[in-house]
Amino acid sequence: MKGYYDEPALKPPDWGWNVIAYLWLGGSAAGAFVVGALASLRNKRGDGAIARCAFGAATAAVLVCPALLVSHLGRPERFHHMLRVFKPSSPMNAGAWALLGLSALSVAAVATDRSTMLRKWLPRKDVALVGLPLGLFFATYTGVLLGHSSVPLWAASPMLPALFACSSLASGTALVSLAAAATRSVDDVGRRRLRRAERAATAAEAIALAGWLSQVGRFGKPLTSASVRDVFQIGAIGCGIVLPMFVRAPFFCFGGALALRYSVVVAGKLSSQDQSAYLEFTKEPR
Amino acid sequence: MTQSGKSVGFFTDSSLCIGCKACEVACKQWNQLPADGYEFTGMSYDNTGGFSATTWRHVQFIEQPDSRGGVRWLFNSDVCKHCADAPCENACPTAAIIRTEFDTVYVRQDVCNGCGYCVAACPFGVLEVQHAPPDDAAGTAHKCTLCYDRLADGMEPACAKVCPTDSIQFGDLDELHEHAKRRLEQLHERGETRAQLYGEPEGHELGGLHSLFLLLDEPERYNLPRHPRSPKRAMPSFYLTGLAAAFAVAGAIGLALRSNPS
Repeated sequence: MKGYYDEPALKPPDWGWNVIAYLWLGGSAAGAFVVGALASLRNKRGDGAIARCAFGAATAAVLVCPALLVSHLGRPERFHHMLRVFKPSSPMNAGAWALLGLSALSVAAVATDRSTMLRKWLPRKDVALVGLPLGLFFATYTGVLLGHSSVPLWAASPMLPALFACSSLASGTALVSLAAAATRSVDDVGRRRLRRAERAATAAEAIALAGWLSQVGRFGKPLTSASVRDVFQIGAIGCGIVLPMFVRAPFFCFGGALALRYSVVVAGKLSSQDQSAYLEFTKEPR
Repeated sequence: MTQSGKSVGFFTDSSLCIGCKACEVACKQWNQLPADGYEFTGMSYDNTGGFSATTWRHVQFIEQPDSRGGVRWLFNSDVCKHCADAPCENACPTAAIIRTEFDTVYVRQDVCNGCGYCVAACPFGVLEVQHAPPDDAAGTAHKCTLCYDRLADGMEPACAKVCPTDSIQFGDLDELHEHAKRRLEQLHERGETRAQLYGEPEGHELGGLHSLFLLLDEPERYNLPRHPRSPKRAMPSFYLTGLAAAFAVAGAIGLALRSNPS
């Protein structure tokens, strides 16, 4: 049914490049941490080098995140406002605490590598054991954050957090591969193992994406709009998913995750401005 | 006199609205909200368009062809719904958005960090983050306060006070509900068969609205969602689906790391 002239029924979320970059780097940091945690827990030959590389990459990426959020909020103390309460019913509040925890654990994991004294009372395995579920939570929450909204594209399907989780783990693994290549700290065997892990996560991402797209149905229309289509199809799917499945391309896998975040956030803004989509979305009781 | 601890709200009876916009003006005057400029929308007599950080009441002008070849006017003064279970309040990561002692929804400006999550959560497009001088980058979210400052002094909200036809009524929520039902019956008896109440608590995902409306047509005509959704409701399934995928893929990564490819 036609609504009130052409006025949108919702306000667009004013989330720009800094939030998109945060969802991407935060998710990738969580993915890299998970790889590091899994390698530390196994701790066989070659795992130490992978774990060191992964925790280093996770730390570098996660420490950029608060800066990105502060640049969105405008003033540093505004980040702290989120930490004055513990309110897990708000995904954003839960995420702020998870970011704090993941940052602390990433730094701790790197520090235990450098200092034998620290390693004695904070074994890396303990850091990995606590950090593994936290990293998985973080990778998931970035999708729940968008899903907990009135925007049809974001709220239509619970596959969105699954998609973001898979994408974060794939791009996190790719980030570890990139760090390994840059520092030459992981041997050939190790790099091939990382490549396998990246491919497994990317395959899962492809399945999650297909599931999400089929579930959002007509609410996915903004993904085909002019400002999103190429980034989504060529960037997120072509470079981020298809290419890394067939050739060794961690850079594209990592970059594709950014294209996916961009596509979903920008298409979500368009979705909020689509009056008929929203009135259709709320037509029937859940 | 308004008592704290009682649920209060608005009942906006659109059948009485004459589109004078006194509520919009009174709201701006009392709350010291700046004008939004002179923009010509080209749609009916509505140059306000919708809510914004500085527009908390919005009078809608709906022109419909009637059976005699003329035009019937529908007016409605839209406002924040002060939902019983408010999505903005649930989303707010700083707990800046609270329920007051009058059971209304209020944004505490000194706590709000301008994240904009309430904007995405609101099912009615009410909230907006204001980015304006002198602090362009650091805006905060704004919406109707239900004149919290006036309530505290025992006065009714400015829009209800000024409304010349009593289309906007303020008061005890239970009484407003009763009044709304009586008024609806009256209109039905007079042949306004499409008249309906909007925001009743029965079967409402948000637990009902503290801003009730009596509409003369389907809610969609007023840009109101027929069945507004609570983002909170879907959250458990979102977390579970996401975490299930995350743990499964972590398992796959663990296996892939285990194998020693030649």
